[in-house]
Amino acid sequence: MNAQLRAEQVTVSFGAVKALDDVSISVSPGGIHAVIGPNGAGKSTLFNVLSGVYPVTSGTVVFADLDVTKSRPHKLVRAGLARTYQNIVLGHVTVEEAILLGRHHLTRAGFLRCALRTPGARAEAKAARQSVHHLAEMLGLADSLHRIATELPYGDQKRVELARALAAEPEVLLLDEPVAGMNGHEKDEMTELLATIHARGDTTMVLVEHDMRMVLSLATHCTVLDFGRVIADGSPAYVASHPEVLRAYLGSAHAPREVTP
Amino acid sequence: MTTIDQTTSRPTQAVIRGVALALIGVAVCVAPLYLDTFWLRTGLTVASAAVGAIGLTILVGTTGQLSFAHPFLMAGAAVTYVTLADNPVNTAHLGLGLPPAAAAVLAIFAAGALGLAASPLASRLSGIYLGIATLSLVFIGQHILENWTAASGGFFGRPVPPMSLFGLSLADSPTPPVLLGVPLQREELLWYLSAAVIVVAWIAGRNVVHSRVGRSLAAVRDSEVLAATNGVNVRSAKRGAYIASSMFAGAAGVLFALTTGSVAPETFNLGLAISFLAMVVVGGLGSVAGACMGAAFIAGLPLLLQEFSDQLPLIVQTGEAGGMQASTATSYLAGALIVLCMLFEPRGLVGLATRGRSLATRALRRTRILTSRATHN
Repeated sequence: MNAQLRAEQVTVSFGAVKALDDVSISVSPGGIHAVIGPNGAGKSTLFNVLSGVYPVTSGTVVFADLDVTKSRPHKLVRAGLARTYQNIVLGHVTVEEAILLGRHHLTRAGFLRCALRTPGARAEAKAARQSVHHLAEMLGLADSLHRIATELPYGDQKRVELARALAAEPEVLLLDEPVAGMNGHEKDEMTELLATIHARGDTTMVLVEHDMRMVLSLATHCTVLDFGRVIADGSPAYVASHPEVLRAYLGSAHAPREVTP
Repeated sequence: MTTIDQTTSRPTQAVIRGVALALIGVAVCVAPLYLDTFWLRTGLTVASAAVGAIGLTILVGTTGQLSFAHPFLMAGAAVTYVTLADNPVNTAHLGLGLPPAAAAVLAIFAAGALGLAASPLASRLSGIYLGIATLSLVFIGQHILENWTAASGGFFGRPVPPMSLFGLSLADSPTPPVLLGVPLQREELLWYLSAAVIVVAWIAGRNVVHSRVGRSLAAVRDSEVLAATNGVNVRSAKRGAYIASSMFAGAAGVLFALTTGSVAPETFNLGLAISFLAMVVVGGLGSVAGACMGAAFIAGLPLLLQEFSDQLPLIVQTGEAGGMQASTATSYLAGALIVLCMLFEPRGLVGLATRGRSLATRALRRTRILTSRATHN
């Protein structure tokens, strides 16, 4: 199987609690793979495992021939894996600087070359800035580049996070609840933006999301988690009509209704 | 809004900055020709503190790694310089007789090596625990130096061989070089050396803070997980920050030794560590300009209070009764200033300066709008 990112029989325990129980997931290249499930299903844990942040209790995670569980996260970024966070972390920096951080692994200048501002370091910084401006243009952040990132409206901050992850030019992009906390209009904008980005490049996307409407309109493949286990895996249409999924979403009748958007 | 301001007034800002820099440059160059020894010594003390503070603000402010280790690193560099530069024939202590300039460079690298050796602490500990661990280095350093008398001179210290550059010894001499009719003695010559070092430290510090490396250090401060998942090797970023910061401390240690003319392990104590932290907090964490302002305040104030104690209320000369000593008064003032900073302006003196500047710009714009309205009407 030519999966780009693969987790096999992963179990993560926090004390007596099994956040993930024998979970396997296989992300094939070029698609948009959604991980859905009710609160506490283990979606964020799975994300943290896939991006090398959490260690696993047992099981393997492989990305581009790298053993994710044994690699330090910055190596995974170099290999082409980038992620965003559900809770935005931007710090007191301008939007431009925040996005520039994403280009860290694509630039080389170290302490000495930065301190001396050698021609090479300057050229590199200029090129990085240009690509950031280009990205900002695409994501509608061009007018905010010199504003403090944390002072932007919520939806814009989310887009800064996305821009930072895209600046790393990833092959696989992990999006942790990209539309969480947004209003309907912002959600639609973000969904459209992600679709555009996906159509432009060949970036594989993996997203964790609560919003079924968004998932069904965007995803090419769905994995459903409940109580740390995979209860369904397949196309969005298949997953949305799966009896286990309906049971997991018991009481929330929107899952079956929005099969055909 | 703010963006528009920046773009429209950028050329004028550049002109103002250029003129200001030129004026400061000229002032620094002619100052030793007019100032007396007291002011020169104050300037030298502030310069050495500022170089160290720039290093510390990169470590504590930009990278977020609390460190008390600065006196330890300064002591290491100072003793290394003295030991390497001292003439083995004339000294009662250990001396290798290297050219002083080479000894100074090696001393700075020695401080960097000490920083490298201390850096694993930061990958194990953080916050106040890291601070306490680095604090222990100050005591260990003092203990070693007080006992290794061959190198450090022990409790009484040892004299510092003068710096010598391009055949010019930076010391008092019967036939000093003369500039515009003013003989350049030890203090004057050291003034120019300090000015050169501080310019290099300032530029290097600013360049690092505003570079790819500076961004990665700030990311480590904001969240190590965030930094790592953005491709930053957290461990090596911290290590780099330690080495760089320690080399600044090393340069500060050598300047300090040259300025005071003798090194004694006793000087590099806990008090100095706290003074350095006070400098970077009062100046504004993470800001190179702030570090220099903080250094001027914390290192310069006790000397000024001491000198003008007869004209100031409450301050008395050392040993006199009926008031407080200059150093005590500085402690009170610095303490009060730190509390005020925390309460009202966490960005310190630099924050105050920025506020003042934006107030001035706003006032200027308002008058401009008013005048234009008046002319239209």
